[in-house]
Amino acid sequence: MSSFRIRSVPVRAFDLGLLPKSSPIYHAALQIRAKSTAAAAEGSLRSNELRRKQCNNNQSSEALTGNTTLAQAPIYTTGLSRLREHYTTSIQEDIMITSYRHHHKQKKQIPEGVKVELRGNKHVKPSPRASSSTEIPELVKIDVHCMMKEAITSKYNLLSGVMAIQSITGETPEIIFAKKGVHNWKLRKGMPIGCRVTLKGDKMYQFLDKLVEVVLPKMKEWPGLPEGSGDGTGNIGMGFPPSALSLFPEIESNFDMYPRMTGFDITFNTTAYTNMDARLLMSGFNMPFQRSNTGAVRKEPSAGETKKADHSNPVDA
Amino acid sequence: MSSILRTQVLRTAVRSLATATRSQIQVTPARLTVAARSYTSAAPAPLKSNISTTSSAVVSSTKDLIINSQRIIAGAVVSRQPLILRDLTPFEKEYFLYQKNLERDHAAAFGAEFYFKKGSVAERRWKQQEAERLAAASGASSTSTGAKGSKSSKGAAEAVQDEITEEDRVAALEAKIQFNDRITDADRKNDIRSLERALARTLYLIVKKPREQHAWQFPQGGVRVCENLQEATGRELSEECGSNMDLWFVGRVPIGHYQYNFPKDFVAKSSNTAVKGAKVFFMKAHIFAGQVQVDNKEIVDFAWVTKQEMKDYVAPEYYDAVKDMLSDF
Repeated sequence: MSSFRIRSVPVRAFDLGLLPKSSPIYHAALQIRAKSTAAAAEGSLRSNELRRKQCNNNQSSEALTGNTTLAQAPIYTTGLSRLREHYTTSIQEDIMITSYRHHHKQKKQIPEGVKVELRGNKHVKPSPRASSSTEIPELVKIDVHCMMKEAITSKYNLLSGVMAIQSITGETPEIIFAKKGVHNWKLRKGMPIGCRVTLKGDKMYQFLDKLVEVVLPKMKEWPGLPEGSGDGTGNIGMGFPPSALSLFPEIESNFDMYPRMTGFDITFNTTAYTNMDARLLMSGFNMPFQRSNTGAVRKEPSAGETKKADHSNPVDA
Repeated sequence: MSSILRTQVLRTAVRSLATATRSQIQVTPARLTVAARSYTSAAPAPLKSNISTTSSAVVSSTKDLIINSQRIIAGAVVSRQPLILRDLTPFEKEYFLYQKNLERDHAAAFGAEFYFKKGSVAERRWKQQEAERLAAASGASSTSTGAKGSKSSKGAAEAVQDEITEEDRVAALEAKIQFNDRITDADRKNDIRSLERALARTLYLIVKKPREQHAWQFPQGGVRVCENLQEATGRELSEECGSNMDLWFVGRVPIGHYQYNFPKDFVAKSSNTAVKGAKVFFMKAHIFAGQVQVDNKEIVDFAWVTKQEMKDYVAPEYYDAVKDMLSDF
């Protein structure tokens, strides 16, 4: 072990757990690993989250790696979250009962080797597996995202969107850079074009509460989310026009300070497997949905159950 | 009736009878009656004969549902969900207060110029609130800091307060949010029938039958033939507790069951000796408004109790059977 050189050892194969922490190559290896994972887009996100999970304060993480990560605002829990408590005490049990299936319908399986051709260059989506009765859908995160076309002409136009999203959510948004250019729109790769905030935990429930209690009731002639909402894997998205920004209490008071009002979209990411379960969860949080006179919705391509509990919106005022 | 319609009716009748026998229900086939429809078009419109939902009822029968010598009974677990957040433990209170102070200490400076226009009512109100906060903070720390420190902060607070006019103070008082009491009158009087009691807990409805043994239980009643559990529960609830309750049934599946055998002398005396016992299937419902009405015919009393309080009312073996359906919150 006398002429040990870090370069000759592949970093991935390096099991840092076996190395004693007193060893001088331990910290160097950590730095290399941190740099190599930071290069990969996915890896940085995962390692950031892991680091956040393992050590709450930034100081210890910086000491370990030696490089300063994006400063994450420390999370302060100042009280019980109203919607989280409501979910734990009421919604969870009711969803388990309403979405219980004693027999799962046998879905038509496409035999191996058979190629199914769909029109319009579409592909056959894999149908989600049936969730067990103990897998109750839960709200994981809310993504608030805004894209501004005006940022193409001048990147400083994006600032008003960033300010607005920061005021609404309380978190600093990350800037989204264009992945590839579009000539017709004069968009070049790497241009800052939008901003996004991912809300989790108490902040997420706070934002949802504000949305449902304050903002959505004030929206003019908004009939509710469409009945067939959902992306097929348990996430629901909705868009807001620029006028909706003025309905948020944080912006309502000093509306004039924001130079440019922009529209934005919100995605609710849940652990539900199907659209129906996702809608059931969101309606439990008082999110309004449009209702037609007929009972079941058959828009989903891989709908397991066509029977839908035809009860009124399970909402406590 | 046209001939096409008649064949349709016969076909659906045969199909329904076939399904009945397949599920092995010991029941005499009920007579199907279809309202006469007149169709002018050649193509016959399909008839809606759905046995599972009898609300558009074609079958009516008051015969009890008996499967494998067990009488099927539908019980109702009517719950009033918690209306306020639960009480905090002493540790939680201290922890949240500590976190609040940390958050305030580490928060970025508040840009008053960005949020409030100069000279506006909102700005004056905010300044007043800040002065109050300063005064409270200086008052709290007057014992720890020196006399100089407290004097200077008090001076600053007084200076700000001079700017605030009397009408602003009145307006601020009016805008102040009043919180309702967490402990209601029903809690103080221990009114067991009230729905306003124990706002942070889940309350369940139990009714008292006019008998000595096993008097207190969930409202329940026999399921009839060609009626589903949800319908039976709704019917039984309106019969026993009146129709003055705004209820919502959670799904169509039961949340629990309880099987008991009839005593031997009861079986001998009863009209149908084939029935040896009963199976109760409990359906969950939530109440949003209204109250139970006692008519002294089927029930003589009722109570809205928490899971822990129910132990004092219902029989021990009944509580053991139902306790796992009930919420601890």
